Amino acid sequence: MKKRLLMTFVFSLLASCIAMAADYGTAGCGLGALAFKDQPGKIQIVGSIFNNLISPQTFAITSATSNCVDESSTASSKFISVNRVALQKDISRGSGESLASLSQILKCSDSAKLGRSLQMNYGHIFPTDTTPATEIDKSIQTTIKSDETLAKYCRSIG
Amino acid sequence: MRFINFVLSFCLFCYLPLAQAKKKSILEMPSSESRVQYMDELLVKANELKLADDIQWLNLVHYKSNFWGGYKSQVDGVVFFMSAEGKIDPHKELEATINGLFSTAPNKITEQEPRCQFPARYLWLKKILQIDEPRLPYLKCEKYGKFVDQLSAESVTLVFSSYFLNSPSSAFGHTLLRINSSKAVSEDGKHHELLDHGVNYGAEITTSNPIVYAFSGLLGTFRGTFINIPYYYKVREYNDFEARDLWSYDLELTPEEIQLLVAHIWELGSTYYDYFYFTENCSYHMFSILEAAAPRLQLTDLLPYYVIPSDTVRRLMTVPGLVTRVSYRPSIRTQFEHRLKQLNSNEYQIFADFIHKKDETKLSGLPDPTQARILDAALDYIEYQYAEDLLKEKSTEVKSWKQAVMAQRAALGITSPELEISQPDLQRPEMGHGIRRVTFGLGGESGLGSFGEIGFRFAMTDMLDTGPGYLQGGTVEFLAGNIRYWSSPSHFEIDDLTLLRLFSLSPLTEFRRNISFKIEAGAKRITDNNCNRCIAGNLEGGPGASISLSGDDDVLAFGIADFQIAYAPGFISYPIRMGAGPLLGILYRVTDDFKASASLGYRYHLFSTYKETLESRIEGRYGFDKYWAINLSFASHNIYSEVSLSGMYYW
Repeated sequence: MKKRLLMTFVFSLLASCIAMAADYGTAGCGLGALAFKDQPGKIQIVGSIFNNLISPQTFAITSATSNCVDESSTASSKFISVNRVALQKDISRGSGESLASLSQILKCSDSAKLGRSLQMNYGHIFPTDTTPATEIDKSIQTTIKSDETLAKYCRSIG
Repeated sequence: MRFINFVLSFCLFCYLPLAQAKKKSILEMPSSESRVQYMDELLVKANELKLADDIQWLNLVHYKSNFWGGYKSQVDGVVFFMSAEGKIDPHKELEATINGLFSTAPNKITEQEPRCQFPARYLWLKKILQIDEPRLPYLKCEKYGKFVDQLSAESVTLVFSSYFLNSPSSAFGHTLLRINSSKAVSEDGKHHELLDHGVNYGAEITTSNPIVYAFSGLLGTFRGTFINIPYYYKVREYNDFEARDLWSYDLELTPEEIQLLVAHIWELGSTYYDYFYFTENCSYHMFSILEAAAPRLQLTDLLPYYVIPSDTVRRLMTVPGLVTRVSYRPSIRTQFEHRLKQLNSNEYQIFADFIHKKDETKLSGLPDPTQARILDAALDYIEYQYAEDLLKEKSTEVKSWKQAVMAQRAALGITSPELEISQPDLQRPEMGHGIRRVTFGLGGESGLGSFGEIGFRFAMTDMLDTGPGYLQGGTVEFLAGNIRYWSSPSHFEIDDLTLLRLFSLSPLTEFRRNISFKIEAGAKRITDNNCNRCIAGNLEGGPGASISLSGDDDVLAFGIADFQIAYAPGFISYPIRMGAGPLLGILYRVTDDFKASASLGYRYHLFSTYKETLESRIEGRYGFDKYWAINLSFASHNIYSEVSLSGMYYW
């Protein structure tokens, strides 16, 4: 086993930029794919969040854009499912890049205002560390709706 | 009505005035007879213009001329060719492509009509042959239209993901393209990179057997494919999960070139290449698609036979005016370190207690903004240190810890200011020395006389190489060798043949538990008295630790548990020996141009007549610029001492 591990290590070094692509190429899309089932050293993080989003790849380019995330879910929900770790941290801080990007997806013209409002409702949006992305998405939308001034700034809500 | 809509929507590309086009297309619905006529007309025109030999056509189908003057496309998927002989015949492929423009029959695999499957070929032909679109059959190209809309490409950036020695496959870095979307620009003009798209080229790994893996990559039996993916996936993967800094090179392309590039990416989405590790890898193909859209760039022309990611960024910089801006995206580790530096010594201690002992008592007494800064640092720390745990679906100890810290942070109700991290110029990958190196040296060994020496390195860097662009304390060498010529008696001798050498020093800090390690595989001359200067197959290395003795890691001290398995028929007692012992050393970056190291290694060998070996080494290197350096080394082995002075050239 040790030998095999070492061989993998040595040979995969030859690969230059090869393995990066494999993350998405074979295991499908999503960060869940970062964990290879048979690659030592990396744990399995096969998020079912990601797995059930993969539909058959008939056409790599289309599939990569559309298959990675379930087409039927909202743009914000897709974003939340992949960026969750960073986004949740941003919301607890009331600012940050992922939060600003979410603000753009929700067509909110004032991301600072959105940040403060979401930060205030942090406990409501992230009740547990396993709350699904769709639930988070819904809570964010209700937070915006219930904040009159903020609702005016976000064109996608209404 | 649908037809008029179609004409209107494609009006951007029309050459006729709108009204005229509309009228003409309605009145003269192309009959099959006039279509055949028009097809012939286009074929004649294409022939007259010698389009099959046009550089853009050759680039679009990825033809490369071979030794006998013929052509062969690098693309290996059959669906990419309209003609059965398309892979080797640019003329037939062009003819079949023009024929295909008149076809409404979808390809069985891609489920698309030729014109929709090959929009870049069509765009180019349309422009150069001045094709009157209404004279072609009507096609909606819905999927392609959706793709174009999804990308809404405004500009293009080449992204370099920096070296990451702890994961072997990324030791050489990685490159991809970012297609910057107009949809990512908010009303205030701010560009949200996360909402752009990344175009990645890579192999589909189909084996977990390392040997099959290695040979598949060298022989090109893996399939390489282009994938388009939201850029945030790439940021999360590289910046956060692997803690690698990203460097971006904004490219100056015309809107027409960008349109063609997007169309070409679409064309490649349905096909594949045979993937070769060093020749047709991600770096090469980022260039090959840019060239397909903009032949003027001639990016692959001057590339050496093999390329690795850092070659691409250096090559980009040599095209005048191509790179308009270089920008830097710090990894989660860099962000954490930056936040840590913002804490004063008292706050640092409170932070350390908070992290190590989960002790919050001292935190609560602090003013809110100070608490916020400490908690912000803690959050980045947890993300960096436990990236894998955080991606798990189920609740874990780390996840619930971070959950609690975030709740605590949110309760403060303070907004964190934007983190401003300046670009570390010393790490700029495009500024680094070339990865290929040739060495010419002169030296002498005690009792053996003098020698001349010539060495070559295929790739990439060692920790004494000076200048910017690489990790401090990182050696990644692949295929390197050294031959000596002795004057008396006159003979050549192989000194060293390295298949692979990896040496990574990641200093330990209070908050970083990185391990340092060394791995070396190849063959080298045995310098102790267990054989008469024989060459032995050699595998050595092991884990260890290093510490930084100065700010900015200028001085690193390290210790490695250094194991060795060596094989040589010439060993006096037994052809295989196994040894182990400590390797201790220090690496000192005196200035950006001058580095020195000293090391001492002791090993005890099994299956060996002389059980103990000792080797010490002092080496210094001065880099004049990114091309030339001079190196001086002293080494002392069990029975010999040697000194050598060499000049080094990098490209």
